[in-house]
Amino acid sequence: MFAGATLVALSAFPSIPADRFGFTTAVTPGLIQNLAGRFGGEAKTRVVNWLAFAKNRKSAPVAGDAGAWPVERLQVINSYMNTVPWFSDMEHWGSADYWATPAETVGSHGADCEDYAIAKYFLLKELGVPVSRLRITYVRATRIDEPHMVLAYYSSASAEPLILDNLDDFVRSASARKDLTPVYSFNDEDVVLVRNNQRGNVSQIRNWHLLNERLRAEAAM
Amino acid sequence: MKLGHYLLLGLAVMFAAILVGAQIIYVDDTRDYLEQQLEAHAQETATSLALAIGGAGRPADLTLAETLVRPVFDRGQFKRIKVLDTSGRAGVQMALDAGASGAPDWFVRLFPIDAPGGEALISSGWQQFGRVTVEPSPTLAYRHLWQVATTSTLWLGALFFIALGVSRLLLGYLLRSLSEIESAAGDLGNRIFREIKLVPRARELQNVVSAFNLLSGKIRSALEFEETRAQQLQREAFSDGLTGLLNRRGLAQQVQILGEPGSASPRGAFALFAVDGLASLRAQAGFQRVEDLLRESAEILRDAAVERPLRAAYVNEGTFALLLPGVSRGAAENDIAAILRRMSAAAGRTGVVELGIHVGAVYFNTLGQDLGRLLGEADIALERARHRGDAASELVTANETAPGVARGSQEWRALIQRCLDEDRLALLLQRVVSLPARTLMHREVTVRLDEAGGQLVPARLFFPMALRHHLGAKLDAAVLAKVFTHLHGDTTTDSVAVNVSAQTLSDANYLQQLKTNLTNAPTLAKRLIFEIAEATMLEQAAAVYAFAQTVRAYGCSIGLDNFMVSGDSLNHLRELLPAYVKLATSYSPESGEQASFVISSLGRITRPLDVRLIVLGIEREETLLTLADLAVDGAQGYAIDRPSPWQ
Repeated sequence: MFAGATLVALSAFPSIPADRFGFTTAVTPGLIQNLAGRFGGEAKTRVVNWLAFAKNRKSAPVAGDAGAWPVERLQVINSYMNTVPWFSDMEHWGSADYWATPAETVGSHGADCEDYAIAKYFLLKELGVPVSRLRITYVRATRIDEPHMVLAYYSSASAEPLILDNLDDFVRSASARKDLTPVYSFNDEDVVLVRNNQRGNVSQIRNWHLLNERLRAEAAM
Repeated sequence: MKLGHYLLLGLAVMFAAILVGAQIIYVDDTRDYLEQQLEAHAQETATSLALAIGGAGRPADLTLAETLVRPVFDRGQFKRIKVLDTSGRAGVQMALDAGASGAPDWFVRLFPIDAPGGEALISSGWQQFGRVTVEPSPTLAYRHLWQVATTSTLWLGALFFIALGVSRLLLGYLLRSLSEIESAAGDLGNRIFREIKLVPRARELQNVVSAFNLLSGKIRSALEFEETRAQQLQREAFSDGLTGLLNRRGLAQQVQILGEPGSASPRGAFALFAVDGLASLRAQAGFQRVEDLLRESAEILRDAAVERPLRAAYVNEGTFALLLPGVSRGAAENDIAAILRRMSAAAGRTGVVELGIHVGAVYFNTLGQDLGRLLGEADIALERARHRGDAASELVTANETAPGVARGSQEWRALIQRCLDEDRLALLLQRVVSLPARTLMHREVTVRLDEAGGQLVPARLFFPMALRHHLGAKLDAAVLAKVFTHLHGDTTTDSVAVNVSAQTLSDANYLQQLKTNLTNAPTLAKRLIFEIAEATMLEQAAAVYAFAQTVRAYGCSIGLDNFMVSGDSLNHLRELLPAYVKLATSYSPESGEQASFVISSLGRITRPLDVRLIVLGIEREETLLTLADLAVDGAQGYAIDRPSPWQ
């Protein structure tokens, strides 16, 4: 308890609050420098473009009732992120399963299924979509016969979700995606259990936990 | 509080702080661990319940949900399990009554176990149906935590006391030398210069101890040196340099000691051996031969002393004195004749015909304490022997009608008893002053018998008789009672010295009465000084120490009277540590230069011991002036004050 309080106090030093980790507004000059160093000068251009894209989307008025997003708006986000070419983690990161941060995905210009889902998740969250409407979902993709990951958007808790997938540029409803079988889904609310402003048990999904660590590190750059 | 206690207290507080801190950290860590366990368990349960409800195919069926939840809830490990629909309404809710936590309330307040619950989404395919929330019950965790806390507290408590015990032993060992130093320093304050035998382990203490030992050792050796010197001077003051026998002063002292009433040998013989014609020997054989003859004669007397307890002295040019106490007249005659034969033979060996040995002797039934009288009578006998010719001896019987023994022994007893019964004791006071300032030190109380007809009999005359008839303690008691009465009414007399006889010291009744008196008059006790004669000190050392301890407890002081008659008394000086010593009258500086040596030597011993040195028998004013140079602290005598009645 005492040690935990000390860590919280130390990590509170960067001015970016934890609920903005992964956002474009959390990208620091230090991070851009870091990405340019790792992935070449073009990384900087790509990140700057990504920041501009997010900024433009934010200024666009929110249409529809109760904050529910029409499929067209989701389509723009899906299409923009799907422009990043697909590479397997082993090829791209030299590791069997690496969950890249949005900035890494954009900067390195390469991603696999979970990286797309994560990048879309954080972008939608930044643009004002409540986390309860978003679920990163493990699915079985029967078409390619592989474990796969997509982002599901629920306009309400009991509604049928819309699927944002890198295999399909079009955002379709779940029932239109017979090739996907959902297995397990999660979002920030599930894995970050908040009690007395303390972070609870996030270790249930280890990769999510590691991702959050990296987001924290990026925010401090 | 002692240093060791402070250190131990400090250690105890420190240990306690450390142990309490460790205990809090330990219990808190256990609590955190238990919270995590509870949370993980709740999360697992929520996940498996959600999977079971969602996987059953009819997620909206509340009866099914309750059927699935009930057995899990009934295990009693959860406080509350809820199944909520997508809008957050509770379909199924099961809650456990808040029972006893299994630990005291204060403990629960101090270490709250606040495990977050677990939550899982119920879904089937892409469809969400609601959530399962599981809140863990902390009862078992509290019970476990409380048990851990009590067990570890017991262990730590045991550890605390063991550590404290070990520290105490260690501190005791380290500080042992410190308390030794403390007690030695305390002794130093009480004028006892002793050595610290213990060698401390701590270096600082080692230095302190060695410095202390060096210092007290120096003082001790200086004192020992002075003691030896004083003893030497004392011996010289009483012995003759040439023959090694007693001198006249020594003989007088022996007569005084032997002649004391109650001693074992009041009868005996006193003889003068005169070696006549020494001038002729010197003229014919030289000075050295004279000395050789005298030494040889002294040797003959010393030989004789081996067989009989006699005292031999060289009293005058060519005259030896021989005191034979406790012998019959016949034995005395034989001894004298034998010695005379040997001395005559020695004289004959010189070949000087003018040399002759003559003996004049006196036989006495009561020795008395007056050497002058013995010398006078023996001298007359000697003259008669000289008239009779070479190697003649003359033994006469002493004239027993000397003053002071004029009264018969029983007559004295009756007189003393009468005076005691009729309270006819007169107390006199004599001032004792300090030198050179001549301020009053104390007044000495002397007692006289108020004989019929207003005649006062001095203590010097009647006290020996009182002792002979074992009236000493009674007399002392009567005097002391009067002293108390006088002191009550007399606030001007500061402190008084009262003599205590040897008989008093061994009288339990008297001592008890004295204690009662002192208890009743605590302020008077501080004004009392008990004077004890050196002879008493030597005879009854143990009784004197016990007496001193008793009366000092009441605030009284102790003084030694008639000091330095025997060199042995110096040994007692350092242990008894009296307020003062009164030097025997034979050391009055008026009696010669030898006495001055002894006085100044003694002063070097008494000064560092903080014992006042008082000289008695000062009869001339000019003597007082010379005394100051001799490191004398006080004086008593007619030149200062004559005893006067205590009003």
